[in-house]
Amino acid sequence: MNNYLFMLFTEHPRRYRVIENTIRNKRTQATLFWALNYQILNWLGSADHMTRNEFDAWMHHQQEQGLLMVQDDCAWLTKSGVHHKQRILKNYYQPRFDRWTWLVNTKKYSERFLLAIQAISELSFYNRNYVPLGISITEMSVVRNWLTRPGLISTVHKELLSIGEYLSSTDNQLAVLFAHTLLGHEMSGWTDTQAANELEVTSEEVMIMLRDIWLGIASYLAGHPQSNLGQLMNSLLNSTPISNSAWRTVREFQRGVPIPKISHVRHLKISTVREHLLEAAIIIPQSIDWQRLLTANKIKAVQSHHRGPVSEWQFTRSTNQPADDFFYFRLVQIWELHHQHE
Amino acid sequence: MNNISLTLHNILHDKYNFKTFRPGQEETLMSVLSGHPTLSILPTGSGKSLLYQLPAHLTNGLIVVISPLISLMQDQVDRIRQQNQFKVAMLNSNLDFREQTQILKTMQQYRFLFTSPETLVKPAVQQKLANLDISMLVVDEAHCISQWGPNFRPEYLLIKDVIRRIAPQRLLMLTATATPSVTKDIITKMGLDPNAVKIIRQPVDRKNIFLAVHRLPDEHTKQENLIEMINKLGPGGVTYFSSKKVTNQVAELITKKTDLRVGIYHAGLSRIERYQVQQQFMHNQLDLICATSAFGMGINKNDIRYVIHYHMPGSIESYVQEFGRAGRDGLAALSLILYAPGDEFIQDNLVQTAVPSVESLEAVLQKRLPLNVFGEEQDLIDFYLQHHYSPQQICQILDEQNLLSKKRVRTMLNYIAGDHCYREVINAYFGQDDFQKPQMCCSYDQPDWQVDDLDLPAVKQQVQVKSTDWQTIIDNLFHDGSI
Repeated sequence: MNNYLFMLFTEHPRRYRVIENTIRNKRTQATLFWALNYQILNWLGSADHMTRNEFDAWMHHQQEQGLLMVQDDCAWLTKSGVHHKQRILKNYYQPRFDRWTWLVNTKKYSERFLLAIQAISELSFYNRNYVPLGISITEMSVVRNWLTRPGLISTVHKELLSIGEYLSSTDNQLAVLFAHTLLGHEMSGWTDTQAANELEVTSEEVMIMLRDIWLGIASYLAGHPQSNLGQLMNSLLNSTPISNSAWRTVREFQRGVPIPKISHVRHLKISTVREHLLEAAIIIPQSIDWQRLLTANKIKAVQSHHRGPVSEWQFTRSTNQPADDFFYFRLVQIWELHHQHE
Repeated sequence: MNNISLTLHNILHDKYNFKTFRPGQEETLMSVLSGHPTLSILPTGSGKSLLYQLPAHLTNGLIVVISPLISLMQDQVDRIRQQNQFKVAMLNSNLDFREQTQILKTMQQYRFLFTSPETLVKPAVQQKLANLDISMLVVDEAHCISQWGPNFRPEYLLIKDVIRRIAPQRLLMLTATATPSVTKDIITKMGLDPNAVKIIRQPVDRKNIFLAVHRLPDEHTKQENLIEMINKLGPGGVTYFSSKKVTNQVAELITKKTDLRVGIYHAGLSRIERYQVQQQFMHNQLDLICATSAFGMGINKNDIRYVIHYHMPGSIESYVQEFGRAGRDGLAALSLILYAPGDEFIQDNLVQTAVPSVESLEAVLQKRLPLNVFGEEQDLIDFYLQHHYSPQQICQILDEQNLLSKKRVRTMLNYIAGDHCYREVINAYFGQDDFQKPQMCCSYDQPDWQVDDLDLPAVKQQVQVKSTDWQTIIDNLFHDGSI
C-alpha cells in the first residue's frame, strides 16, 4: 500500500488524519466530508489493517526522502513527490472496481469463496482427505450447507469461467491472478510474493489487484443472484454503503418523516439523525431529497455568509441554534461539492 | 501381545496406516486407556497427537484437548479434519460470541473439542462439559503449568479445578520438554497424587540430528554464512528468526542469492497465505521456509532435512522443540545455530515482561487507571488481578519469571559458547545422562564437519505447474477438466 498512499496526496495541503482515517475506514462525518472534498472516498477501508504508528512512520519516511511536506495537521507533496506520484500512476496497477469498496468485507468474502471452491474441487476428485482452509466455524457451516445443492460441480465450473471472463474483460491480469488465487485439489494457489514474481508486478500491486478482484466478483455476483455462487456469497453483501442504522434514518426521511419525529421514534438524538443524513448526503447523494432538505432560502442564507472555495468556508454561528446552523452549513458545502464534481 | 495391544495395533494399521508404534506411544495408550492419569514426555516428532486421536476409536464421549496456542489448535483440528473420521470443534477467543454459543449448543455432536485454558474455565463452558460424557481430558504442552518452565501460563493453574468439576474418565498430560523439576511441578500443580500418575519418558535426544553451531564475528558474516550453508544444503529446510522484519529481509536475500523457492511464514500474513505456504511446503513446492517460531507447531512433515536458527532460541526447551522438526523420518538431519555477538540481547528483550509498579497496579485495582496502561501485558496482569493476587505478589511473580527467563537465555548462550559436546549438554539439561553418542554427533566433537559428511537424503522438489492461461487453471480444479 505504501506507494499507493501517494494517490491520496496532492501538491496542495491536505489534512493527513483525514487520509489516515479514510484508508482505515474510520467513518466520522468530518472524515467523510473531507474525503469527499479530496475525492478519495473510493479509498475508504483500503488499508483497514494499518495502524496509526505505521501510517505515521510512512509519513516520516516520505518526509525524510523529500517527497512530502508536513506542517501542523496538513501534508502535501513536494515537487519530487509529485513526480513520484506520476510514476506510480503510470507504472502501477490502478484500481478498476474501487467504486464497490463499500459492498463487502473482502477478507471475509474471499475466505468463504476460496473454501467453497476448494471443497468443490476436492469433491470433483472424490477426495475426502484434505486440509480445508481453516476459517470460522460459522463460515464453514455456510459452505457445508451450500455443498449439499445438487449439480454444483459443473455449474460452479461454468460460473468460475464466467467470472474469469468478466475480470478479463477489464484486465486479463486480474483473471490470471484470480485463477491462481483459487485453492483446490493439489492446487494451493500463488502466495502474494509468487504472484508478484509471476506477474512481474510489486507486492503492493498484488494487494490492490486482489482487493479489486474480490470487489469485482462481489459486484458481478450481486448481479447474478440466482447463480450457485451468488446464492453462496450474496449474504455477505452490504445492502448500502452506509451503516444499517443510517440507512433506516434515510428511509424514514424518504417517507417524509420530519427529523424530530425520526429522532423520537428511533430513540436517537437529533444530532445522530443529522449525522446519518450527512453521511448519506456525502456517500449516496442520490438517496437524499435535496429540495426538501435544503430549501433555496437555506442555501442562499449559507452562501451569503461565505465566499471562495467551499472547503475553505469557516463555519460561523448566525442564530442561537448553532447545531442547526452547522447541519445546514455542512449540507450546503456537500451540495456544492457534488455540483463541482459532477 | 494381549487383546488390548492387538486392538491398538489393528487400529493403528487400519485407520492410520502405520505398522508400528513409535517409542512411548503404545505404553502411553495402554496406561491412559486403563484409566491411569498419565504424563507422557515424548520428544517432538514422536506422534503425540495420535495418543488422543486413536482412543476415539475405542471410547465414546467427548475428548477435550487443552492447548495454549490458537495456531497449535488450528493445526491439530486441520489434521483431524483431513482424516475425516470425527467431528471436531474449536472453542477459543478467535470466535465471536455467537459462534461460541453455537458450538456450546451443539457440543454433543462433536467427538473432539480443542480449547484454551482461558475458554475452558468460563462458567458456561464448564457447565456444558459437566453435563457431557468426557471420555478423556488432554492437557497438551503440559509444561505450561510449571512456573519453572519457559512457557509458564498462569491460566494452566486453573485446570485442576476444571478437572474436579467435569470429571473426565481419563487424563492425559503431554509435553516434549520437561526437566525433572518441571515434571514434578506439573504433577503438583495439577493436584495429582505423584504415586498415582504414570510417567512415560522417552529421551529428548534425536540421534539422527547433527547439532552444530557457527560462531560468527558479525551480522554481515552471519548472512554470508547462511547463504553459503543454504546453497550447500539445498531444499527441505526451515530457518527461524526472532522478528518478522528480519524474516522478510533475509528471505528476500536468500531468494536473490540461491536457486531455492523460499516461503515466508509469520503472524503478519493473512490466514490464506499462511495456509498456502504450509501446503506448498508440505508438498515440496517450496524449498525453504523463513519463519518465526509461529511456524512448525503441529507441522507433520517428515522430511525436513535441516533447521537453521538465524537468531538464537530463548531456551534449551524452545531449541529442542524447534530443531526437533527436522528429520522426523529418522533419517539424517541437521540443526545449525548461527550466532553473532549480541544476539542474546534480542532474546533478552523478547522474553522479559515489563513489571508494573505496585502503585499502578493499585490504581488499576481501584479503577483510577484503565487496565490498558499495561499495554501488551494487560491480559496477564488482568488474570492475576481477577484471581485476587495482591499487587506485591504480582510484581514478585513477574520479577521471578524475568529472572528465570534471563537465566534460560544464559544457559542457551553457554550452550552456544560450547565447551562440551552439545548432545551431552542437552541430555544433561533434561536429566538424561545415560545415552549413546551417534557417529555424527555435533560440531563440538566434529569441528571440521562438512555438509557432505552428514549424508542428508535428497529432498524431491515438486514442480508447480505453470500456466498463464487462466481458463486452464480453472479447468484443472475439476476432475473432468473441461465442461
